[in-house]
Amino acid sequence: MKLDAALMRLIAHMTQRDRMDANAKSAVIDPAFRILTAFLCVLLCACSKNAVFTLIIITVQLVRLALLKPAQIRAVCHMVGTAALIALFITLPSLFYGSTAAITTIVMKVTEAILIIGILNETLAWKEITGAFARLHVPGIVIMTMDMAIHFLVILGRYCDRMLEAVQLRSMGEVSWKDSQIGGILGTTFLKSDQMAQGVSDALVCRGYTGAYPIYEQHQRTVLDYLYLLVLAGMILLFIYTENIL
Amino acid sequence: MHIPDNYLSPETCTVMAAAALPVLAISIYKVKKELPVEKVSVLGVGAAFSFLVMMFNIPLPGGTTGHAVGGTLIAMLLGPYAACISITVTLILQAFLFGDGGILSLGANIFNIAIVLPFTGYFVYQLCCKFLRGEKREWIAGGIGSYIGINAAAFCAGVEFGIQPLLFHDAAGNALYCPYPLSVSIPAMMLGHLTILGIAEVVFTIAMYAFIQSSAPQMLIRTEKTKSPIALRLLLAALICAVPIGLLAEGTAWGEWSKEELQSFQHGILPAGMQQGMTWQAFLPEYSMSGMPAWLSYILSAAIGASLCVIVFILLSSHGKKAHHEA
Repeated sequence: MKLDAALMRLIAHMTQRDRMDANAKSAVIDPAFRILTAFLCVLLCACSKNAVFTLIIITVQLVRLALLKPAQIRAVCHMVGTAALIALFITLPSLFYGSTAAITTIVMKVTEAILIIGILNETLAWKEITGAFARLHVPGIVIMTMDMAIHFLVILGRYCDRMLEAVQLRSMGEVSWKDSQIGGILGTTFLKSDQMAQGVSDALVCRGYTGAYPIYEQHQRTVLDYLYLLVLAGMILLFIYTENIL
Repeated sequence: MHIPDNYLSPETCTVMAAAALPVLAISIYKVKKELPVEKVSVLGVGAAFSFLVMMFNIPLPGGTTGHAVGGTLIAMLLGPYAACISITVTLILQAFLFGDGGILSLGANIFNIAIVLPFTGYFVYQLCCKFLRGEKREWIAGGIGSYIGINAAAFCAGVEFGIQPLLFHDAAGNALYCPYPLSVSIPAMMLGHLTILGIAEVVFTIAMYAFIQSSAPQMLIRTEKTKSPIALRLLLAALICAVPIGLLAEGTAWGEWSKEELQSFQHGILPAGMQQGMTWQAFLPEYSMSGMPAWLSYILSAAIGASLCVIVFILLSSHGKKAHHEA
């Protein structure tokens, strides 16, 4: 009886760079542009009716992946491999209908989407992602809720895990979720989260929180950002070209 | 030099795979033992170079083509065992993703290109280094080693093709697989490699060795440094962009024809064993994709292949580090 560690690891990994690279230089390219490009890329690949555009994007992402640090490559490959295998498993029945093209298309698109998001996650710190959302005019309350949720999922997860361990230590033999005091554990966790939320709210008010979610660290746009916009435009043109020629 | 499926009998393929496996196992053991874990990722760069070099097709007299391999260069940089693993990974990617070289004949291709070539080349290089004197002795030794290495590999491939009609034929004496006997296959393979392709391998080896010696000398000695210098990355990028030059050479390499091409050479007759042989549907067959311009698909294939080579070895190196820390 243990909490699913995979979810905890994923969330902890998201916020890891904030702690590790606290003094690191901010991203060279505006994170807002990068997030926009990533989402557009996934969208265009989903809309493309042939494999050419998707294959070009996969190639570019593979080259980018090869240039990352080993730990980052491992993390992305783990994500992509799992997603591609699940996609392959789900689409396997189409083999009985003789449609191998469907399998290739879906697996390619899933691989491409996870590759893009995985690389984005590895190369952008969580604080840069929330900052980028603010610059993309996502309402402050949404960003704050998301930010709080990510941070508190880790804290409450650890709290819940400690309680489960305590229950396990008091019990004899293998304990399943059904037999354990799951209602009590989750209820206590909920009460604890309520206490913590109250604490955070008080702390925010003490620090002058008025409901606004300002961005303190503004990314100074440079020529590189505008060149990156040209890449974005080039990608859209490439999509139109590849859709028309085939 | 990539032997396609159905040119060799299944028996030959099995024997070649059985011959290659122990050498691969020893190479993996030696690399794990001798090469620092931090250096394993450099194998990926070597594999990527080899992959790209094999995409530069060179026209040969008689309408066929061929390519250099770069196996001796990798052996000079990282040792023959590391070169063996590097080129094996390249060959596996080429066979499964791009349909270059067969799946059944993968063992034979590994034996020729990933074992005979780097080990022979490195042995000759070491031997020449002992006898030669002067500043350029490594260049000259590398050149001689690479020339003999690629020719030894081509000779092995020629023998494997040539013994097929001798060993595998029907009651009427018709060949079941590759129809060309030793008297045809060995001269056909060796002519190109003794002349143009051998020289191309020498030029590639010496040029690359000189470049690495000047811009990335840490690759030559066994240091803990693993960061690929920018010059090497730029060179990889330049090679990727230049691969469409390989398309200028029209025609197919000797012994790498499709069933239809071979049938046309044989006056419409295809050996019986080849008629119902194995066919593998590669992701990008022959580095091409229907509807995409040839030059673009060639560049994309080069980028995908080179990136995958680097990624595979980085994953292996990080797995090695993890095992090392656990131990």
